[in-house]
Amino acid sequence: MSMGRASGVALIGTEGHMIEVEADISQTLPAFVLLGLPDASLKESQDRIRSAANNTGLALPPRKLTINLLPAPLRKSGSSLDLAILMSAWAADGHVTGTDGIVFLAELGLDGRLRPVRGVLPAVASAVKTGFSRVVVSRGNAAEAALVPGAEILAGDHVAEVAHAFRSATWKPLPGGTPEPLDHQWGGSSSTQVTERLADRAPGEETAGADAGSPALPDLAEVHGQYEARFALEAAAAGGHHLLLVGPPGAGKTMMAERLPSILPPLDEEAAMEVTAIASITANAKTVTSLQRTPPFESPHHSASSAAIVGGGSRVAAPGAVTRAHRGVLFLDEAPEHSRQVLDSLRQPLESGHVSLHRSAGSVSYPARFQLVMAANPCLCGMNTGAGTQCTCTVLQRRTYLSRISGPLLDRIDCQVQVERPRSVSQSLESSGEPSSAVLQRVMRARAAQRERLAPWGLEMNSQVSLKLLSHGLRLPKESTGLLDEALDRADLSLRGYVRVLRLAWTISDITGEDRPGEEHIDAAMQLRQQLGGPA
Amino acid sequence: MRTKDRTGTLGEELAAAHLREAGHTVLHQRWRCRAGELDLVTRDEDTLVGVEVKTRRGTGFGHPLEAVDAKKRERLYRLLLEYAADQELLAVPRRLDVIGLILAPDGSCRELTHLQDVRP
Repeated sequence: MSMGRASGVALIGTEGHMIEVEADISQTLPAFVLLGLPDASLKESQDRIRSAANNTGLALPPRKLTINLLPAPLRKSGSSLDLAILMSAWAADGHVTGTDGIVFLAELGLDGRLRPVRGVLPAVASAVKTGFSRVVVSRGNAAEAALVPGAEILAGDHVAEVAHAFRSATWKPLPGGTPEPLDHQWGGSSSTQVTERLADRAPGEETAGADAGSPALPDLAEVHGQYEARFALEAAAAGGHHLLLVGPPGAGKTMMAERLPSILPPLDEEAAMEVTAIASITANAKTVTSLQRTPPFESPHHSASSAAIVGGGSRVAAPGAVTRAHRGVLFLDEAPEHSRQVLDSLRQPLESGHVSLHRSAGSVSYPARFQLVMAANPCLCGMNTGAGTQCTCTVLQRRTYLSRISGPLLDRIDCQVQVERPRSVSQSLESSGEPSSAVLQRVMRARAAQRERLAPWGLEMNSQVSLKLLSHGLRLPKESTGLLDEALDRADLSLRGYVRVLRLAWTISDITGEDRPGEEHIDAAMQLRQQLGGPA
Repeated sequence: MRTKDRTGTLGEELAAAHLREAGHTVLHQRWRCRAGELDLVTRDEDTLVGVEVKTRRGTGFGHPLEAVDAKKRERLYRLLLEYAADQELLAVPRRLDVIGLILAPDGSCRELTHLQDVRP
């Protein structure tokens, strides 16, 4: 038979598309034809494949080899299809058999070594979802591939091992001798076997476990005093509210923001999968060996371009900081110093939870459900705090500084607080603050309460609640909202501000363990909504 | 005669013998014109066949068939056309075959590959 088949996966964003690789050997002069919109890096695979085959001792026949990558209209790129192409070619030549429906994900070295590729986790996940559960990867990707439940993984170091595992009846011994058998065999109990063996081989490396190797996060205990800001941080964590911290230099804004991940609940299975998949496709990713359970924390410098923040690049756009912060925190230090374009480009992902990036080579959609934390000085010199006597800014400078954060963006930030420099030494340095673990307990309890209450509407956090829901399903009695209604009547508060105060009030009542917010909760919520540059 | 030419002649002899066995009638061996040379011209039933013979003493420099690239194939088709015009055989269907030969050190044939009709 002169036809062979194998499968691969092409990734567009974090979404995998199954690729069927067909190989045909025709009795005519030697040539290598690659069909199905391969890009330059994929076209190079033909030379890698011939060399790898020669050096393995299973040279491809001196005939015309036609490789077809289906579906034809989908653009394919990268080197992860190398192994699939070679296996289909060998299948066409009769060396191997049974490659149809098996997913191969590895790059080939000229000597036939299998090399790890990026994006194995999302690729295997979508393969399994489409019904292709058997996957062959390089040993370097074994742990990552094994994270996908339901996947049966074969991992090897050399293409000879893979060829041997799929040898046909007419198999001839290789010049290099019989290769080592591959890790794991189909139908074994579970894919964790692979990772166990991996651990045997490299004792220094982290093993793939539930949450191995998450670095120790900075702890809230290191923050002395700052009770108001701590409370704002806790409320932001509990309700998933976006947060703006305004205060003079040295007040501890950055320190607070960096400690937010330590009081966020660990990611659940689904979220951890999404976050790890994003890490897997990011260019500078280390090898993924375990699911990431800690919410990510991204803090781009204020010189970042909007392409760096929302994602960009020519051809198919690469993910940006908002995507890397998915299910975690995007922290913009010195927020007013960020370019206006960058700040406003955040509005769409804040609203929809994803970014759609369109380029000539095609559009791609990345998840971007992040919690936004911004820190800002109150003015250009940073001293316009308290009485503001030390401030050297002109009135105009003071007015324009915070307004660099545009109204529509501020509108989406529920929680806006002033952070003051600690005044009293005794208060701030004597005792250390409450540790993150204790705060996390309350946050988790509050999250559970919200999930239970909001389940009928398909929501999870107070920050997602709309005005409609607040005025119908979650309407509060007049006695509780009296203070707030007055503020609205006095035009101290816009209707949007009204909604945000109510959302925060619900979160605060969840933290304190009440059924519904009372007057004191609404009062506290209004404290977390201090007006910063313009009406709330 | 230089070694490489001897290898070539030897290969052509072996190829001609193979073609006769396969039922071809050899019309010309090393037919030359201004544009170049056809190694073998044969008749296979009603078809005029131009045959390019590529002989090597090993695969260290690649398989002999790999030496016939698109450019060379174009040239061979032109030569075959010239031959047909010269012999007034333009009405006869024609095709191009390639024979790749690998010789053993003693000059015997180790591997012979006959590709018929090598149109792209």
